[in-house]
Amino acid sequence: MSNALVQMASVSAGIVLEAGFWIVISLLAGGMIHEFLPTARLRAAMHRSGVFGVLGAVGLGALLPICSCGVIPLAVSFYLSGVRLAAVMAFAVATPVINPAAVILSYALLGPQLTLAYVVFGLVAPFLIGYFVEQGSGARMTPVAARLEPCCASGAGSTAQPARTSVAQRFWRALRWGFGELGPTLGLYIGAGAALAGVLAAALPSDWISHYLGASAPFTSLLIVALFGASLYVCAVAHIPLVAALLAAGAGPGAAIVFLVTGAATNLPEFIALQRVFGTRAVLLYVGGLVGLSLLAGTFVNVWLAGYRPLVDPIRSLDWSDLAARLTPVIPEPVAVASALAVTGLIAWGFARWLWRIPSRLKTVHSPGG
Amino acid sequence: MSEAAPMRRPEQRWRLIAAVLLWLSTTAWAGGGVAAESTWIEHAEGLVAAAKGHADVAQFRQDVETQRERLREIVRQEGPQPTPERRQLHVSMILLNALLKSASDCHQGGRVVCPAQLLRQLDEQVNVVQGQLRAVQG
Repeated sequence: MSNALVQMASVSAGIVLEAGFWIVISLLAGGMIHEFLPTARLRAAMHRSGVFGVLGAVGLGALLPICSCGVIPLAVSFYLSGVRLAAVMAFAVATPVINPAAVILSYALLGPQLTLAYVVFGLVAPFLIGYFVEQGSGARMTPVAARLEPCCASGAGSTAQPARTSVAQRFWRALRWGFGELGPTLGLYIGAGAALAGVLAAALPSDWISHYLGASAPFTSLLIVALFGASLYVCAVAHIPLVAALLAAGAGPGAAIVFLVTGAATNLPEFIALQRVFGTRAVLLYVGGLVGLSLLAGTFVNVWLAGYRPLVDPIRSLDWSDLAARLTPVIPEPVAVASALAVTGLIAWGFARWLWRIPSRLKTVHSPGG
Repeated sequence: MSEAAPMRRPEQRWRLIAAVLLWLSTTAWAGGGVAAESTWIEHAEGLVAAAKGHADVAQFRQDVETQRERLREIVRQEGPQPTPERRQLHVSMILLNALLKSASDCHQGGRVVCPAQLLRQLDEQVNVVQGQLRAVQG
């Protein structure tokens, strides 16, 4: 029992420690986007109704080395700044799934064919999911999104020109919105998701990845890998060596692709945060689309690369792995710890605010109109 | 005929000595190659034990990098046309090194803290390379 509790706490703390730096950067960037994006060209590019806006979002996401927790504040800021939902969802999926370091490491350890499948799926899936969600969920504002939206009068929500304010004042307002509004609101959901991810990690057998990646019933194993992978916190770069070792030991290539993409794309903290901001329908379409597409891609890869074993040239593999390591940002320990503490503070603040609002929510429920 | 035989004896002796020297140098070179791989695997086992024992992450990262450079030397010395068994061994050693690099990326409070799945895979990969090393030696 105590071992399970320690494991749960360790997994939850590990998520906050690993993602903390990127959550802080994302909140900072989110504040800037919310304050300055209406006057920037980026908004116009991503707000186009055609496919180019969504393609641009996928391209931008594929270049950023941010994990699935870190991307949440950025995606929410884009959405609240008026960027269309298809582009926001495409960006939210593409960013954690694919980045230059992951592609290079995949080429070094998984070989060219599986890397091709990974890149094609990693670029096509976000594009399609963006459209699924936009078409299916409509443009409804959830209460959480509405509460975040009118915060800053000169932000994206308003069409009026802001009063004359200096850049320093706008910068301060961006920080205030990013860390004072968005931070605690999303912190509550990220904290709840991290705690649930800890429970799930403690409940799952420790060898589930090797068990299901090498399972003899291909479709069942693809489904289980997709569902578990989508719930757990998986970083693509860190898990490629594990997948490569399992493939060399006989795992199926389809399950490997499913694990890499669904695992990196989503996790419980992201589900909860996105559900609160974009609504249940949008998140169900998002998860359903991701799992459905990954099953299709996994089945196709299993047929195309039946009996696949990575065929790599040893010296080139070492050189490419070095390049991938150089492209992977290493966050210094003190910075990572300070960021994790800041995120923990935001989680606590969000939780305190949630407790504080319970009486007013109860009053609304018990009032004659409520 | 009986006179010619003693005349050839010193030549034969030198030939025999040359053959023995050639054989010794070849086996010494081959043994050295396997010895380098064997030593590398022993060090890798030490690193796996360090990961399990929550080693200091900065030192662990340095050791993993040193280990990777040793591996690069081993692979380079082998040349462009290794035997399939040796090539397979080197690929498995590269995978073990990549797993150790992943282990060096999981840390909490300055100590290496790896998920159970990664530790299990490290153990399995050590077994794989040991088996392949025995196949190359045998």
